[in-house]
Amino acid sequence: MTNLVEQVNRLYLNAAEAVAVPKSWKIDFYSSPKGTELATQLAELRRSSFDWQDATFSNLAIALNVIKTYSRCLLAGEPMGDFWTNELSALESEIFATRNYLPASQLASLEQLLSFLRQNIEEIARLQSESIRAAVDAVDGRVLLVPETARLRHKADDWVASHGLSDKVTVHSLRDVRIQLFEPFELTLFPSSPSAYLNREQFASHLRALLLTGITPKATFVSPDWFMFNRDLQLDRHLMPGFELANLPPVEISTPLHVDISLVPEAPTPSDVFEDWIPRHASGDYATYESGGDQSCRVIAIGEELVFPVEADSKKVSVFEFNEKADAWQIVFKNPFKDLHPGDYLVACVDRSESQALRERAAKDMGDDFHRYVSSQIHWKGLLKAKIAQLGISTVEAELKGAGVEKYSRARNWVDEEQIDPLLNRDFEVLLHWLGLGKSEAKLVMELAKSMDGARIQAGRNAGNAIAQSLDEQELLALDKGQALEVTLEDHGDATYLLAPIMGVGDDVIMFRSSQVRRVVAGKFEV
Amino acid sequence: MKIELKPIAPGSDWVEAGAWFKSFVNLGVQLAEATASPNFHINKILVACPKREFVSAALAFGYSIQKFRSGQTLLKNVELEAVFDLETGQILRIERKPGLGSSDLHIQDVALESVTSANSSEVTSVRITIQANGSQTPFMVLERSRIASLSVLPMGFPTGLHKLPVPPAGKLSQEVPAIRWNSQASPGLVIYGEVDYFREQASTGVRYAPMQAVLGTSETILEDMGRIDYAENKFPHFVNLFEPVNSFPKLSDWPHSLPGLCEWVVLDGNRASTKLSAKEALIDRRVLSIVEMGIPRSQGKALAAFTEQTANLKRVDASTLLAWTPPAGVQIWAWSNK
Repeated sequence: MTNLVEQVNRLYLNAAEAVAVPKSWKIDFYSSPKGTELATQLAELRRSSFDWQDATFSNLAIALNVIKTYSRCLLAGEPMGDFWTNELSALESEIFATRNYLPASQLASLEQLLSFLRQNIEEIARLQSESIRAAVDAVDGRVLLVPETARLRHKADDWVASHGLSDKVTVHSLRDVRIQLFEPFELTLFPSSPSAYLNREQFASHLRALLLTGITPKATFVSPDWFMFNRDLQLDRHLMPGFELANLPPVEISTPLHVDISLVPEAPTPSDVFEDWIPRHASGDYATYESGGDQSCRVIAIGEELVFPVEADSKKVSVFEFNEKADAWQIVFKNPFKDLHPGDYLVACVDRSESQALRERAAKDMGDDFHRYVSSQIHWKGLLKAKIAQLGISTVEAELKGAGVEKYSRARNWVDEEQIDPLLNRDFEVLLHWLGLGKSEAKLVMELAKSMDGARIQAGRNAGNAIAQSLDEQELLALDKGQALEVTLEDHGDATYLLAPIMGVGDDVIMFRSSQVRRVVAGKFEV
Repeated sequence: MKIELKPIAPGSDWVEAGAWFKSFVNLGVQLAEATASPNFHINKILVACPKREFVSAALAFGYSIQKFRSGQTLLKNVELEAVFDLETGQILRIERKPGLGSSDLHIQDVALESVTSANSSEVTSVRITIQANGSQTPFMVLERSRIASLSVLPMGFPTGLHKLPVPPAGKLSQEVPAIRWNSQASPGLVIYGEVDYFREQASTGVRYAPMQAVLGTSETILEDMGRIDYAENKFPHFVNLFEPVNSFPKLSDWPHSLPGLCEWVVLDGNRASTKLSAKEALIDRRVLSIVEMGIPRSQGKALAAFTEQTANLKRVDASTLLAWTPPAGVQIWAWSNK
């Protein structure tokens, strides 16, 4: 492992190289005639005098925005993929549902659009895929691929796997990237134009973090030419509004020959560009609920349209409460379904920052054992992944059940890097045996996982203490008044928590993506 | 000149610090030099860097070097008789002559409570009471024959008894570079940050050959190189100071506080910048904020909190005025009140 000085040296060297080497920052706009036609059709629909804000048509409007957003930035394992099949079906259903309320001209336009999409979306998606692939192939080193949202990240993960690029390309959604000091990437690749990130207020700082930190010596944006706006051409002015940035790497912008730069429009308003019209929750920078998850959860309401989903069989959550005896605020654990009361302060992780920070702290504590732990994890998770790919998840679950694994339905989550091991020791032992590991090898894997577990728990405790210590008088006053408080711990890798009074716990079991379990999520849920 | 660093983490090796580190040391030097000029009117500086690691320690390093070079000091030598004219709370620095065979030079900073012995034209000794906490004796006798030098320092200066190696025979203490280094009283930076994080940084080993001539060794830690004191005041020097964010003094406590004696307040990181930028005590102070761009969530808050305080100030060209070109990846902006 390189030491901290070497790691910081590398950031500054990357930044210096970016300034010194021509074309280290690039924006590649590729020609996409069909995409342009699609964008034109969508824009005309939006421009019409028709009232898209009418509640009758809101789902239709959302379906159109989804298509507009994803047609410029979706990378999926297959050119069409389930995504487009489902979205086009959804659009068709919405057109059908509203056809009696639509003016004839709008209905005709929508049907024409649907037909156009059926014929051309594959080509539009293929061009995006090819352009991104070309950018990946243009460098020899490792690539950090940064889609805008977590949903796009899942699709990009599939794309990376289907292209056999898993060793070369790592995918993080924009808000989940932490500036990893440890990973020597050569290129940060954005599968969109800068506008796509800058338009969203809360995204701009994440983009700045990536570009201005020297995480890689090269950065490339790839976007269809129809999503090119003035601010893309003046990145230095728009990256950090109100500040003149000196000594930035010059940005090389390549556009198709037919594009007249002088006619490039100003950026549209976010609601015209993004699928989720309101880009952020009113009270903070929180992820929006994503459907399609496979984790059974119940939600703890912690604000208006703000929840914290926990596993339906969860036994504990962290609560921040005042200990009269100790005369101090402390973190305690409570059963989420038995012991929580309205007004209790839930300690809710805002995003993945905490788990990454804890991992880094634990890695530091484990020393050389950490590398052995990582190797052992890669080994058994790789075997499990291969089994799932070969047999399918249903068969794997059935076989594990037959072998005596109690929590067999969690198997798909065990491949996740964040899951150190199955909850039950016995399940872990049987799983490793089922994967073909010998007794001594399995013992070592389990010992290393246990060691990591312990180090992470300790790191978690330290972070908990750090929360209490970081609060100043004003913040403590806010807690006394029952107000929510967002705390970011700089010393713990930017781990961000929302200390929020609990409003209630939902009875319904709702499926969540594993990436959103135990994270603050914005969405409407019955509690 | 090569600077090598060795993090405190076990198993870490010495590594040559990149040009960025030397550049931040140089910023500390330039800032200290410029601040000494009456024509220097910058009072707010914002430095945006990829990571805050080592930045404030490097600034303290440079500031410390420049302070040493310039020999600035708040010490004002006084005669024994002048003690009678001093106000309560005045800090006295007493440098005693080493006793025969002693290897220690005693330097003691005390806060004067009162002078109890009578004034006369031929004073040979003065009995004073001092403000003291705990078991320290409140009485003290200042004997002319035992005192090498007597000087005053501003109120609020830290007190304590410190031992330094005696100067070689025939040399005055101020002729010995190591004693000058270790007893300089010229507050520069007060750094507000996170204590565990900062102490870890400050404990980083440093090798820098030019220090051989001053300290007799070229190898020490950043805390010593930057002459960074904490609340416990381990050294007779007072050049740079570290304070936790949550210990920021109330406005009423500021005038005679340790931070109040410093030339610049450094807000080390996004949390410090967010929490402290708007403090009333800092409105007319020189403040340098270190914003870490690699932390997206807190970056916006820190930038907003700091720049809000510059609304009525004039943006000036920091690079030119400080004769400092930031390393790639670093941005600097400055504001002046003139």
